[in-house]
Order: sequence, then structure tokens, then C-alpha cells
Amino acid sequence: MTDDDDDIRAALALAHEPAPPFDETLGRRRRPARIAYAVVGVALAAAVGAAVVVWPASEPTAPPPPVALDLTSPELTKTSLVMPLDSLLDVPELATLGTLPQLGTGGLP
Amino acid sequence: MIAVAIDLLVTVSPELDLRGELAAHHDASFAWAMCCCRFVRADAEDALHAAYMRVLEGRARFGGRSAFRTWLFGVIRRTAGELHRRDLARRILTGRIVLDALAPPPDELVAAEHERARVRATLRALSARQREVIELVAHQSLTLDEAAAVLGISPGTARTHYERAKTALRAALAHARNP
Repeated sequence: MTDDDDDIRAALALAHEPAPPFDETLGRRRRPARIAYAVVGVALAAAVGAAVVVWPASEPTAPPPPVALDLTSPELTKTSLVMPLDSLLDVPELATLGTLPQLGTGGLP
Repeated sequence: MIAVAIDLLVTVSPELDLRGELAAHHDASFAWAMCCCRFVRADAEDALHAAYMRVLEGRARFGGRSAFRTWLFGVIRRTAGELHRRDLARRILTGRIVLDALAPPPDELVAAEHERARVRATLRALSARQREVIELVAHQSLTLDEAAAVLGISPGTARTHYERAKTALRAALAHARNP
């Protein structure tokens, strides 16, 4: 620490303020520790967590209504099935490709 | 040197008047607590009270390995750090950290103590180590070796922090004067 540091010393002195009396500090009662806030926060979080867990379990699940099967309906008597991806196997213009071209009779030059 | 030796003899004696020692160092201790608590007065008063209780109840014992003030400053620093961490955990748990961030600036920023607030803001902008070293050396008149003992770092590291703190503080103050 040199005399050149007077500006630093002055700045630090300015940042400080007088201390309270010693006895006041010694007999100080600490501010409320905000434990109440913590307890409320934990309880709230626990309540929300419990609600999330319990809600789906306690929700009454109605049994599905009985379905009357009609064995004579067309859907149940169908014997040919068309798979939904069969269309991907179709070759475009397959009928044209399966015939011989008629050269000279067409409109081509 | 003789004064230090006498001080050590007095402090290690079983009849050490702890309360008297604390009272004798009270002003310096409060200033140090303010620095440790980033110049939040209520936090500093809490930390100082807790540190005094530790000393008087024997939960922190002076072993005589350093000057009483050096040891006491170490106790205050550790106590302030523990209180800060505990308070931070509570604020996170209760969501107050968000509310505090959204709150308007403290009164000191808009009140008559503008100059003090400006210097404090500058000091808060320093790293904790820099702020502590410059407080101990420039304001508490400790040597760099003593400051290093309080902070538990090497004297060389303390010197580095001290020089950087001075440079940063001067630059910030100059910038504040001539923005």
C-alpha cells in the first residue's frame, strides 16, 4: 500500500458506513429465516406432485359399451383384402407396356 | 513485532476476554462483514451476529496461530458465506430469487447516497477475491500476508488479486466520472 493509493482508500471509505453499536449487533435477533416460505413452497410442490400422480389413477374409467356383432354384415363376410400399401406395387401404364407398339400407325413423326 | 507478540500472548491466554476483543474490533469487523456481504447491511449484521455467537459460544476457537483480528476475519468470512448459501437456497426454493430479480432497484440507487451507491456497485462488480483483498489491504490496513491468511490463499495470489482490483477499481471510477 503506497501513498499513490489514496484514491482507492478514499473510494473504499466512501463505500462504508458507521457500524452499529457492538451490543446491538450482539443482541441482534436474526431476521425471520423465511422457513415459513420454504415450508409453504415444499408443501405446494408436494401437493402438485401428488395431484399429478393421483389424478389419472382416481379418474373413473367407464367400461366400454357392449358391441353387438352382426355376423351377416358385408364387412365380416369379405374374403378379399386389399392392403393399404398395395397401390405402391402398381406399375403405372402397365397395360400399355404389356402390348406391342404399333409403329407407323401412331401420330408420331 | 513486539506488539504482535504481546497480542499473541494475550490472545492465547485462557483468560482471554473474548467479548472485549470482539468489541475492540467491532468497527473493523462490521466493515469486513459488509464487504463479505456485498454491502448489504442487513446481511452483514446477521453475519456479524452469527460470527460473534460462534466465538462466544466456543463453536469457533482461537488457536493463537495468527493475530486475533486475522482469525476473527476468517470466522466472519466463513459465516457470511454459509449464510449467503443458505439464503440463496431458500430464495431458489421459494421462488423469491425471481421476484427479487424483477423488483425495482434498491432505494440507495435513487436516493441521496448516490455516490456511495456508485462506489459500492463498482466494488460489487469486482470478483469476490479482488473485493476482499482490496478491502483488507486498502481499508483494513492489513498486510498482503495477513490478507492472504484471512482468505486462505498464498501471498502471491493475494498480490495478484490486489493489483488487479486496484486497476479495475480505478478504471471503473474513472469511467463513472467521465462516461
